[in-house]
Amino acid sequence: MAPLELLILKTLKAGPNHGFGITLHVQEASGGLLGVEEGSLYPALHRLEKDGALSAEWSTTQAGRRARLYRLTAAGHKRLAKAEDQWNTVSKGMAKLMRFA
Amino acid sequence: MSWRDEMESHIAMRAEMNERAGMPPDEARRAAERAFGNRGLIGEEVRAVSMPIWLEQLGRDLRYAVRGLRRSPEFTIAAVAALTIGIGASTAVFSFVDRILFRPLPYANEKELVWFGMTAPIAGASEFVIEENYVAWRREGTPFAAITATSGGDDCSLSELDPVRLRCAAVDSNFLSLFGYRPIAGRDFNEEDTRDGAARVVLISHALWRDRFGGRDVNGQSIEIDSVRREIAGVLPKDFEMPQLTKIDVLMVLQIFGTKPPNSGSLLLTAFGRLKPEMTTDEVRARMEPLFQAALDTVPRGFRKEVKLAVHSLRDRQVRDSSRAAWLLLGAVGLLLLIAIANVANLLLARSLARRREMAVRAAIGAGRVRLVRQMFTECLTLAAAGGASGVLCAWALLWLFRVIAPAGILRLNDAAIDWRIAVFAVTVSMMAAILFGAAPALREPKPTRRRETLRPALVVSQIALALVLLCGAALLAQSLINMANAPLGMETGSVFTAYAQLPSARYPDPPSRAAFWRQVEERVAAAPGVQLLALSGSMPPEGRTESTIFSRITVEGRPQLSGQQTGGMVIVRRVTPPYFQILGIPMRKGRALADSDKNAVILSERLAARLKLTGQRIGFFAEPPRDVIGIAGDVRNAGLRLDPDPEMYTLTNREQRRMFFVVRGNPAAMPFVRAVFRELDPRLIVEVESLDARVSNMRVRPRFQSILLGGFAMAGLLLAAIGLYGVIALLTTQRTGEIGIRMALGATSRDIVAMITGQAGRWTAAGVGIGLCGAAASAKWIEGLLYGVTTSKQRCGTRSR
Repeated sequence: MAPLELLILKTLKAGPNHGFGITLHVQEASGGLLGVEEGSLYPALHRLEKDGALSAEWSTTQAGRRARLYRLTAAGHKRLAKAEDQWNTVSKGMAKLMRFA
Repeated sequence: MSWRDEMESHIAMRAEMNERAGMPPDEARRAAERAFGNRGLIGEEVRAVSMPIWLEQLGRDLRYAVRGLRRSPEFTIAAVAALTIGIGASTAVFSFVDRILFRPLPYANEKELVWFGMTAPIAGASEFVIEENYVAWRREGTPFAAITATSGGDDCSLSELDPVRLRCAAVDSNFLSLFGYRPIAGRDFNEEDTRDGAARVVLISHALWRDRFGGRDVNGQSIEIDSVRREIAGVLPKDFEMPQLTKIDVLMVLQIFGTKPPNSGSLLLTAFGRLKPEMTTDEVRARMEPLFQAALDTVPRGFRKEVKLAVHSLRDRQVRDSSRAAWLLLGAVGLLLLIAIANVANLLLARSLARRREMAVRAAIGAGRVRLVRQMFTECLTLAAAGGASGVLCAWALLWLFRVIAPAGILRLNDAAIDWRIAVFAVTVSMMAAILFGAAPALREPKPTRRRETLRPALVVSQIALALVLLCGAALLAQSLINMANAPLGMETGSVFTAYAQLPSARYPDPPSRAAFWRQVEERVAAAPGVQLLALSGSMPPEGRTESTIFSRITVEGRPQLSGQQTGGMVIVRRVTPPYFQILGIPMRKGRALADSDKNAVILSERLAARLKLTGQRIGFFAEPPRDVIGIAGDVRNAGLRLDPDPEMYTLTNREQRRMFFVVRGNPAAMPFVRAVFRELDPRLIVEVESLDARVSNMRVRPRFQSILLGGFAMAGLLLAAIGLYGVIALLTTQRTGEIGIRMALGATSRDIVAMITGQAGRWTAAGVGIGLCGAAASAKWIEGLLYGVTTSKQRCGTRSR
């Protein structure tokens, strides 16, 4: 599980969003520490959509602009839960390893 | 809404944000675009997510394939042309032949249907059942589940205003039900209709119903056939087809079960049976044998030895006459398809060998073997698809052409449509050949050692051999056609025309009334402008349909009757008026010509005189007074397409026949006058006026059609083989450029080089011709039946084809 997917799924758990919204949210929520590149974001979004973790549809944003909104599906929620577990395990392990070294 | 829109929306949002942060619009937009990155690359990745990988690669392979094919247009055009000819011809011919050989018959449970009867050499090729036997079998039962019969078709006239010549047949009352038909309007025949004194009812064909009655209700309507009014009982379904495949307009009831008037003779019927479900044709044949032996008692003694029982499944019997021609055509296009495939294979083989270096380079820079296979595969596929598409177009055009040049009466040509099964088959076969020969060699490891080429010469040799077989077949057919056209008719046909009519017995019941009518016509036609000479005759050569007698029944005065069980075949009897010989230019070999006073005289043809071994005696024949032989006339071709004439005798006509030909020598412009004479005297009579040349040439139309088709295929095959030979020689020569250079440097002249190359081509051609001649000899036996006056061991075939 790539961290990028985790970021996407976590962002969308808060509610449906479009690609640009996701980049903004990741940046803001991480206090500017993390950023998502468009070149990786969109292929990842489309892959997740094809896998069934996301559904997408065209709609109008509050600002009145057409955008493709991505939404977590049931499978997406499960995937997110699993990804969080994995990430926690990995980060705990990493933290211990870093301290030891 | 696509990826492009999504991307655009993203960039626009960032640009808007940048603007809000204080950037000028232009810069905001540019910055947003920069931030997004390489749009084309990202787009490709996004699309790759949703597209299956094989499809994407297929698209790329296709582009490569088209590019590759376009790079060598000569190769592409040659290969596609070969495929077009092969696929087109085989598809068209199969579509047409399939209707004859393999189509489902329009009858219920057709496998149970059987055509049975007796055969005898003098009755020609058709089976018959004698009326009395049929009636007895119907009453007493047979091994069949049911039997039925018909009198066979005959000309009849719709003798109302606007008269038309129709085809009528009488059938037993169970005829339709046995074949599983039901009238679409009205009722079927029933037992009542066959009784004495029953009302005369008919069933009319769908076409007649449509043309004559406009498809209206026919209940209670009647129709006048040969001047007898008959009530219409019903209408036949559109797909109705007589089992003999003859065209039919009106079905009448066979009146054979009632009391027979004395001395009326016996009808010869065509009989069909339906097998009991568990029985086979062979079993039924065995069980019919005792009934047949008993029935032989009704056959005149002289015939018995020659009469045989014939029982065939309806399908086998129906296709008997056309199946040989159909199989021949099928064989011819099969050969053509093989040649085309060999040709394409050879082209591809040559190409792939030439591309070994390219393949090696590709493999070296990392293309996987699978990837290379796929690419070659795609290229072959593209080629086959192009060839297949143009092949189907070509088939469609050929079918149209067949229809235009085919003579009337070719079985079911008009409902032939492109058969997709065979189109797919042909495309598949050529594709497989393409892959086998095109892709496979390219994958072999490129070996530096020069191996002896064997495959390509083998392909060239087989192409030449196949083309030769085709060519020999076509040459034989053409030769037969030429023989037929050149064989002397024994008469002069130029500036002769005939008018033919048949008197309905209802309006001309007795011989004197017929003679009176014919005399009236004769007087007026003789006086018509442009008519130089006029004769009457009951029949016209070279058609076979004539009055005839049995040879063994002719007696010669002062000699014992030619006895024995043999019939000796048939002798044509032609009843004519004296100018007949002069008009047709038939020479008198001996004796004198016929005169109007020669009531008891007979003129023999040379052939008959030779068989009777006599020169000027009296001969007698059954039930008539003996006649004096006054002359011997030259032989005339009188057996249709057969080249050797039947024996023939001429007597003076008493003008009492129902059918009469008026034979006129004179200006063809007189034809309408002659027609007008008939119309004046009897407007309801149907008259056929035709030049004798046209009658003769009509007869040759079918063999000519066969020759044209086969000749066309042979030419196409030869062309393909020639292209193949050229292609391979050219390629091999190019490959040997270096070798040739060395040879020349060492002192070989250009003549030596040409000799070397042509020597090679010559050896291949010789091998192909040798093998082809063997094949041709083998296949020639097979087409013998379609030939007229050609012996098949034609050695000149070989020399001619070079």
